[in-house]
Amino acid sequence: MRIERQPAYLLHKRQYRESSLIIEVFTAEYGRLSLIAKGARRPKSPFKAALQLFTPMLINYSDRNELGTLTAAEQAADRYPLRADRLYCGYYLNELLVRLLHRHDAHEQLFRYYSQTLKQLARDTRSDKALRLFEKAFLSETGYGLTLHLDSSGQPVQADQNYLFSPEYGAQRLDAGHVNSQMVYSGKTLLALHKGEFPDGDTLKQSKFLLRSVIEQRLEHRPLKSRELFIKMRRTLTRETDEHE
Amino acid sequence: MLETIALERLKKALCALPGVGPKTAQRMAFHLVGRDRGGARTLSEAITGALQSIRRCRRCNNFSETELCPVCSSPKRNAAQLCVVETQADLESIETSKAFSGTYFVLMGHLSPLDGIGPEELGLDRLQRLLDEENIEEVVMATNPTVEGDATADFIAQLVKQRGIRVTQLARGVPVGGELEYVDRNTLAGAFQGRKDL
Repeated sequence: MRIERQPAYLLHKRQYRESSLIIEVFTAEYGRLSLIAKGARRPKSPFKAALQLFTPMLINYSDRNELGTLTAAEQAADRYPLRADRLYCGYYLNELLVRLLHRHDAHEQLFRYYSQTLKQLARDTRSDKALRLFEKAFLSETGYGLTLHLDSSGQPVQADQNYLFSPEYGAQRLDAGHVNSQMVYSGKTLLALHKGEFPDGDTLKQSKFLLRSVIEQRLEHRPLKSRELFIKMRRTLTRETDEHE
Repeated sequence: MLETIALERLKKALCALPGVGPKTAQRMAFHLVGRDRGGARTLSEAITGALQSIRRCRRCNNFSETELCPVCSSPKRNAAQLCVVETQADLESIETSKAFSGTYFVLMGHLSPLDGIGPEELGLDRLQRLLDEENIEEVVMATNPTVEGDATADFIAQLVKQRGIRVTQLARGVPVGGELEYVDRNTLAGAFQGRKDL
């Protein structure tokens, strides 16, 4: 099958043989694919400039078996300029897609979310919100949508109650005075995440923990490398500041 | 099979070379033991000799036969300028250009979160020690102009700035002999941002 001018993003690349790359791309209509980009590391490769992370591309490829072949790649719009922390948010998105999307599963809606999230990360000051909305959309697009507005007995979630949350059982209401070592979420948070509008820092923070616990379960508790690295880099920088102050 | 065990071993060993598969390895092996035995002996001695004598420079990570590489130990080099590159090959290119008279630090790669390559893997603790112990006045970031290279440059720039040291990055522009028409948009945008007075 030959595909032409397919909108796509590069998610990851690794070296293959002397001068080629194996790339993971996320395409608008065909989902995640692995392609071989022959000669992409040669000095005059026509792919070289376009094959960059966080850059809208149009690609041509032929797709026969598990590993297709990239035949053309051009940059379709400006690269989203992600810097510092935002860049690691971008890597995080890519790692989620590489690890949790099956190859050749179409996710057209998710492709649009990915694009929008990159745009927000490049522009907005509130990266937290953009990331939470992407995580939520990602889960629902991959068949793990969360029921947040009804509790496990089918009753509407109340803003002033507390709940436990697990992907299998959904929201379980906690009786007043119930002590539990697990993370407790306020009804307000569940409803905020349901609507995708976060009125305050608390709901945003709780949403982060809730989504993280669900995603960790999806990852079978194997840690995300992008997050580990981010933490390590933060530590390197803050240790430095301490020493130099 | 008529082939001997020694020949099999040689072919397998040749496959360690980049870009050499079984077929090429066979061709090389036949050539070495059949047609050019003298060349083969020189090659084998050169490899053994190189393995024994070449190590990494204690200061900059470059290949060296001595504890400090010729660049780091040369009194003619300006040790107050430090150029950070991704690979030895990058260092060689810059040396060939004769554009830089300071010293280097070779990272041996770039930050790559999805592959688990972080500050430790790049030896940034050594770089930090170097910045602390020596009198460096300027760090020139010469990582590749890719997202990964820029990410690496940004991170190192923070470490350098915390010490109050000047940090610069190579300019981006149109290659010599190139035609604007065929230059990609990012390079062109970079060239405009970095334009200078004539």
